[in-house]
Order: sequence, then structure tokens, then C-alpha cells
Amino acid sequence: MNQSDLVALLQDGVTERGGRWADLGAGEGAFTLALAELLGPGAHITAVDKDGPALQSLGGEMGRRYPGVTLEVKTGDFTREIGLSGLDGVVMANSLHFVRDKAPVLDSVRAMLRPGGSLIVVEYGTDQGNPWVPHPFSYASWEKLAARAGFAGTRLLRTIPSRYFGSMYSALSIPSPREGRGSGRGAR
Amino acid sequence: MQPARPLELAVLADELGFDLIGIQDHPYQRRFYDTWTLLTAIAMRTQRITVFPDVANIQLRPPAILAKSAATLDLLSGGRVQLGLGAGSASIADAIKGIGGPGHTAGASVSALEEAIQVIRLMWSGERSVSFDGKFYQLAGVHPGPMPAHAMGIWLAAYKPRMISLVGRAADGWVPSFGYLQPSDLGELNKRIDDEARNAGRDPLAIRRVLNVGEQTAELLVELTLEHGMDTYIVSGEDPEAMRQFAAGVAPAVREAVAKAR
Repeated sequence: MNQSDLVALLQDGVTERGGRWADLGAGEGAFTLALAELLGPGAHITAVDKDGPALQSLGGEMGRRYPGVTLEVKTGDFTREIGLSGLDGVVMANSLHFVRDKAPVLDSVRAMLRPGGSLIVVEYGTDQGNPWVPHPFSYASWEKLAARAGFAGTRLLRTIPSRYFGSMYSALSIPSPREGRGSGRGAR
Repeated sequence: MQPARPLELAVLADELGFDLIGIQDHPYQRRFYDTWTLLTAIAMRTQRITVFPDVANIQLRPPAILAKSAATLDLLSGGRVQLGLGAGSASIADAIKGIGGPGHTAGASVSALEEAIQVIRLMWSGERSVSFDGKFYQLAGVHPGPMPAHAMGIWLAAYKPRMISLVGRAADGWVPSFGYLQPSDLGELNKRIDDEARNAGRDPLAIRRVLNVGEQTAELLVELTLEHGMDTYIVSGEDPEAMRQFAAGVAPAVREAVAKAR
């Protein structure tokens, strides 16, 4: 896939320019760069991955291609606390399929997003994994998974053919309001 | 990942009773270790488990040298090596060229692999001197050896008709992956392998059927075995807890169900 393919997967889920986003499991940053193209100058993107050297090289590439975008890199495991909150959006592109138990991760992603924020997942269109993509989920499975994890309005953004697993899709989900947040304060 | 993490996971797999460890071979990926070096390190740290490249890209590994590497490790490990081979997909031809390989077209890559299998078998033949005059590979009076410690299998990653035919005619195992095929494809492809083997005067039952799967239920693995003809499964080895659960729960349940059904 080239950059325009990656941009196409994300673009219908990015409706406003600028803002604060995170790319969880950014790897070498192919989708981070696509996100930067869509968000434009003034955006702030936090790229998170366990591979520190990959993130460092992403920093140089971002500066050359999208100098108006501020890139913050965090070397770490997004399945653990990484100190992000109030984000306008989160991208998880081919990263959630490495996670066996997705519910706690999605719960923490939901907590990272501001009300009305966006979660864009990019995944292979299959529920049959292999040793290297151990826990993939088709769009049909993602709809159920996202709903159980407290996301609403999940919709398919785009599907493209892929030699590996046949297809790749992107989907947008919005966190549902957390129950009890307002009433708890009012009851005091 | 901690540098020694793959070795720790391999030792755990050995202790848990897994039979096989497969290591993929993508040298052009910056983060990946060299496959043969890692297989060697694993074999030297483990006691009973068999190792294999899942699968070695023949365009990046000269077959005579690969045969020697595999035979050497088989001897050093006491016969715990199998040889997985792939033609090198045309979809990664640029990556193969980028690291110095030929980057064959799809058709040429299958022809080259077929020659490579002949070269490897000659190198394991125990003959005093062998020669081979192929389009892609040549041997000229080479003294082959050492011989492997056991009758090492050549297992092929294969999906399309010419490669499937090659499995039946010349290989000892078939090692496809979910991702390139679906469960519903397996029965037909296994049948073609069986037919090709019979046409070549070989016993189809002697060809091992190894499938790279993700985390699967016992029910699906039983179905893949009984209804689709597979006999060996490679699962993800990155999560120690998942490995423990598979070894203690799923694997024995599959073995018991298959034994009962047969």
C-alpha cells in the first residue's frame, strides 16, 4: 500500500483539521504520516509503540514532510497506562489484532477520548488469524466488540482489497457517554 | 522486545510440550532477527522441540548452502529440524531485490524453487560428488555433506496450482497460512496434493499437512483435522499465558476428540 491508500482508509473518519490525536501501535508510522496529511498544520499527534528506534526515525520523516504537525513519540505498550486524555481522535491501525483480551484496552482508549472523539480502527477483514496476526476481527465482529466496549455509532468507512487476508477495512466508533458521571456529582 | 525474549518463549514452548517452533523469514524487515541464527539459538537452548523456518525464502538463501545449514543444525540438535521453503512471492519482489535477491516473477519463482529442492536433496544425498545444471542453480562436482541426522522433511508454503502440484510431486509437507486461504479451501487443495502425489507414485499420507493458524478453539482444530485433512497446527507464541492454556487445554482436547473420532 502507498500513502494514498492509507489516507483513503482514514479520511472519512477525520472530519476536522487540527486537533490532538494518537496513533496507538504506530510501528514505523505509515498511518501516522497519513493522519498528519489529513489533520494538517496545527495538529498534535502522539505516536505510541514499543519500538523506540522506529519512532525516532518517524520523527525525522514527520519534520520533513509535515513540519506544521507536532509529533510526540511515546515508547511504550498501549495495553498499559500511557497517560493520554482529552484526545480528539485515536487511530489503531493493524495494532489491535495483536491484543487477545481487547476489552480492557478499549476501555482505556475510551477514557483517552474527549466526549464525541473518534476511534478509527484499521484491520483485516477476517476472524481467522495466523501466528503473525493472532487475533484479527472482521467488521461484523468489530461492531459487536465496539458496542460491548462502550462505543456507539460504529460505521464502516472503507474496504480495500488485500492480498493478505483478502481485504482491509477502516471503521469509525464514537465513545458513548459514561454512565453516572454527571449524576454522581449532582448527588453530593 | 527484549533481545532474548524469543529464546525465553522457545524454552517455555519446549517445557510446555509443544512439538514445533516455526520462525518466519523476512530478512528485509528491519526488526526481524536472521531466521537461521535464531533457529540455531533456539535449538541449542531447548531439549526436545523441533524447529523449522516457516518458511525460508529460497530467493535469499542459496539452496546448497541452505541444505548445509539445515543438515548442520539437524546434527547439532539431534534430528530436531525440518526445512520449510517458500518461492518468494512476486508481491514482495521489490523487497527481495532491495536486499540483493533476484525478485523473480511468480512463474520463475516456482521454477527456481523446484530446482532448489533438487539441489537440496543432492546435497543431502550422501553421494561422493554431485552436479546439477539448472536454469537458476548449478552444482559442479561438489562433495555434498554432511548428511542430516534424520530424514529431514521439505515443507512448502503453497497456494496456487503449480506450487500445489510441486508439493504433491516433490515435498514432504505442506505449510500454508490462514490469511492466504480460508478453511473452506483446505479440502480441495489437500485433494489436489493427494492426486499429484499418486500421479508421481508417492504416498499422499507421507505428506505432512501443517497449518499456520491464530488462536483457535479446540472445536475448529478438530474440524480442520477431521474434515479438512490437516494434521499439525502452528499457533502464536507471543503470549505465555495463551501458550499455557493451549498446551493444557486445547491441544489435549483436540488430540482426544480426533482419537475418538478415528
